[in-house]
Amino acid sequence: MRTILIVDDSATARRIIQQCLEMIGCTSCEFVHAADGIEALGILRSRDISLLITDMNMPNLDGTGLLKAVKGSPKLNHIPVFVISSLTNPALENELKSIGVDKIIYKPASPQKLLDGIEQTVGKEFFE
Amino acid sequence: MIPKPGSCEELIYKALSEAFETLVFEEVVLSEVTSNKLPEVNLDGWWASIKMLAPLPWGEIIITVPDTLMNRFTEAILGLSGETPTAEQNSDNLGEILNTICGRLMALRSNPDRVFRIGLPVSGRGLIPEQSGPFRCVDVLVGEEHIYLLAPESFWDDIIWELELS
Repeated sequence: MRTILIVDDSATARRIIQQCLEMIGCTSCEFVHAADGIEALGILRSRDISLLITDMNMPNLDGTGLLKAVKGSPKLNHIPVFVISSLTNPALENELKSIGVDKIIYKPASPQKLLDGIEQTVGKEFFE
Repeated sequence: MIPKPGSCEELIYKALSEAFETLVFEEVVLSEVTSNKLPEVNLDGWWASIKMLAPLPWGEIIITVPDTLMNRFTEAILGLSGETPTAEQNSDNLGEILNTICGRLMALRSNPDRVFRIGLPVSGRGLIPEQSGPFRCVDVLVGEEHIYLLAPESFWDDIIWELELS
């Protein structure tokens, strides 16, 4: 079973993202939620995560800090990472791509945006 | 009120429309834009604010939503049926709605090279936080209920400046 980690300080945003993923076929996936980067890192170090979806603007450890920790870790840098953020523009997108983000999605998240992201990065086999 | 094509009002209306239509499946209609006139807000109404931090510390963007409408929004976002949303759910949802509006506002602006940074949303009920300087108030209607978006005048001026340059 694949495990998807959703990181956002808003419980609403986490719920919307999970609902979108369930709608596009991630019905047998396990979902784990974290409210900030520090909580997410704790989960990443103790669980086998198949996909990390994170917001950028969060308390304690923000998205940039989390992404740098994940992409800088030999044990975690294989995990595909999607950023779902309200604050995205070309300058920020370039910065995120240089860190190694696989897909950037503008808020509000939608099933189609997530489906495109999964098909373009991890492939359709993610749903199998 | 029909916003002039290419105007600041149109950009803000577009950001509001996109956020509300996608998140709560509701259509908003622009009613009016006023200067330095605080809206009349019921004490049981909800507000959320977000500080704009960069590229310039313009101040706070604030949104107010009446209680009945906020309950309806939360029911739509969370798919609640028959349950009354909790205060925590309403508060979190309004923060997320404003976060999305701010994000759309920044993304719709004409200069793609500017990196914007905003603070975390803060939500509450009743009296809205005081404005530290001149501001504009955007009044939009959802059905017959009013939603107000307050933005600092300096932020408004910056959008106009960008629109003129583009």
